[in-house]
Amino acid sequence: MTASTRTLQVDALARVEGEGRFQVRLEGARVVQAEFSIFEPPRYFEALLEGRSFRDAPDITSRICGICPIAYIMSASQAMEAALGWQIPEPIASLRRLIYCGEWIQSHVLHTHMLHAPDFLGLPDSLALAQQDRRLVENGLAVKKLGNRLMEVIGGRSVHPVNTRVGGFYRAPEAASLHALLPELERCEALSLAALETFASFDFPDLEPDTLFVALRHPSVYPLAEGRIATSEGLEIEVAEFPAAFIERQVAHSNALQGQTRDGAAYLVGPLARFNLNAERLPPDLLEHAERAGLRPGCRNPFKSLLARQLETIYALREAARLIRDYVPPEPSFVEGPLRAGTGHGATEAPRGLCYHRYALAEDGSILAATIVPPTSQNQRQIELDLIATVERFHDRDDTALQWLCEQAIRNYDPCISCATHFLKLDVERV
Amino acid sequence: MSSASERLVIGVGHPERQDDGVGPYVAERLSRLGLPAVAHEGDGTGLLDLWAERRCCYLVDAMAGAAPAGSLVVFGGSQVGKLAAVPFVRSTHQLGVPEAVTLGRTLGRLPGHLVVIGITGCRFGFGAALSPAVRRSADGLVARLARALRRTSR
Repeated sequence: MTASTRTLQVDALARVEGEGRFQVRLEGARVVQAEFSIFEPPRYFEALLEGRSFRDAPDITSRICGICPIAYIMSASQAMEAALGWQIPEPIASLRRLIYCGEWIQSHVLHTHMLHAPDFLGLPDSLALAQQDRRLVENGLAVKKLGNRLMEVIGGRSVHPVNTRVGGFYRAPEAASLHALLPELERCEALSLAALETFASFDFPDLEPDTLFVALRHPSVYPLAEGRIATSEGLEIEVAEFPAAFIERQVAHSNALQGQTRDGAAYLVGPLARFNLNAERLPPDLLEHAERAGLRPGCRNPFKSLLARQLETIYALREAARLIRDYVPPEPSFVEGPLRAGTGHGATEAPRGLCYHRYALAEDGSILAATIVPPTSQNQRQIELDLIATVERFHDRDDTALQWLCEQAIRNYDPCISCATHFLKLDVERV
Repeated sequence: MSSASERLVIGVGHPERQDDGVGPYVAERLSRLGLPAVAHEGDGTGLLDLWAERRCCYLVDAMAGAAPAGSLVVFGGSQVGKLAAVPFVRSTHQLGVPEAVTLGRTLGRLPGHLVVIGITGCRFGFGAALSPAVRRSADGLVARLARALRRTSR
């Protein structure tokens, strides 16, 4: 190592789900190596599904993550319904959107308030944040509790819901049990707007790297579980065309596959991508709140994902209230149809970004092959590029300050490392 | 005197991860006896909600450590503050038991009386079966907690 060579390394990242590390080497002001490594063991979910009934996929894949089980349930269900040619009526689709709002709320607020906000205040964790700003943490906990409650009322429980199935729900919740949540939804929207103002006052590192954004886009609604796949370069494709445009590749330093475009480009999925590709689908007053907070469509500053995530929390609270006011229990609560051989694709917007599933089914509905591409796998390469951009932009800071910024840059993505290590084969390349 | 409903045993852990399931095991057996007990997967923010407006909570969780499997460590009163240094099994994303206790104290949301009981485990792999030593210890704890709950509910 020369005198001008610096190495920044954190062996066990904190405030992320799962086990990961990063290492950045720079010579002078130039980064020569940046690796975001996921060393959580592979979990073989795709192999686990082979030979099982199509009905099992939503429940099994939901175990990939305790924070975002709905994303897996919905993407798997969509893929199965596409393979089988089952059409989902609007009332069932609306109820799915409603439980998805609950997941966004509880997942987003856990990250913004408890895991990410401390970074911007120079605090080590949410415990220190609670000592400094008790109101902010109390309010965040209230909103998270409401998100969990919404998932419980519809899904039977907040972690790994049990009331969902391919085709819809085993039982539709009573309207009264949902209507009882309306006052708290309104209160929590006000609390979340106040939190957005607080977050807007944070000092965001000045960084605008070139970024390719990828998210669902829908002609009339801000996407949760509907729409086509769009990119900030103008590509717009059907969900079934995902494999034609995006691939995953093995890298030696990570147990999780890395997503990239067919052309080899890194890309970003998650709140910032959704906001940039769907801002016009947000209510005008929410766009005004975003503007006042310093978040404008086209924003490329990854640190402002905090603002996008908080804005989506507010949107999900309001959307949940709208869906509840319009709610009529679907009757029947699920659809079924004949079985057939085929391949189906599903993609929904997990809190952390696009979650893609593909299944090939035999004539009896048993699973022949499964492919799951979670958001953190797709974001991995972009995270490394952000690390490079961050270190080169702020290379004059001392190691402690720079390491802090690097950790913060990774937490911009709310990475779910457990989700990322889902894949079928582990090919270790030893060099 | 407080009623049974003001008291609660919370068994924290994952029932499919061998000794990490000792908390839910204890909670389930107390529930079968008609006593107030719930299993909880351990998200600390959820613990704060369970503690809300309870006068007394007993929290049972697995511990990893050098002590023999089945060893009990009880933290009550001012000793609860020592939890931060204890290697409870926990997620890296959600708040664990020590963090929940610290956060609860900061926010003034601890129950009136909190007793945290750690049971040292030796197996944390896949599966529902507790190791024999942990199961023996858990059965003894169920009997003691049942006596305590019945005594205070009379």
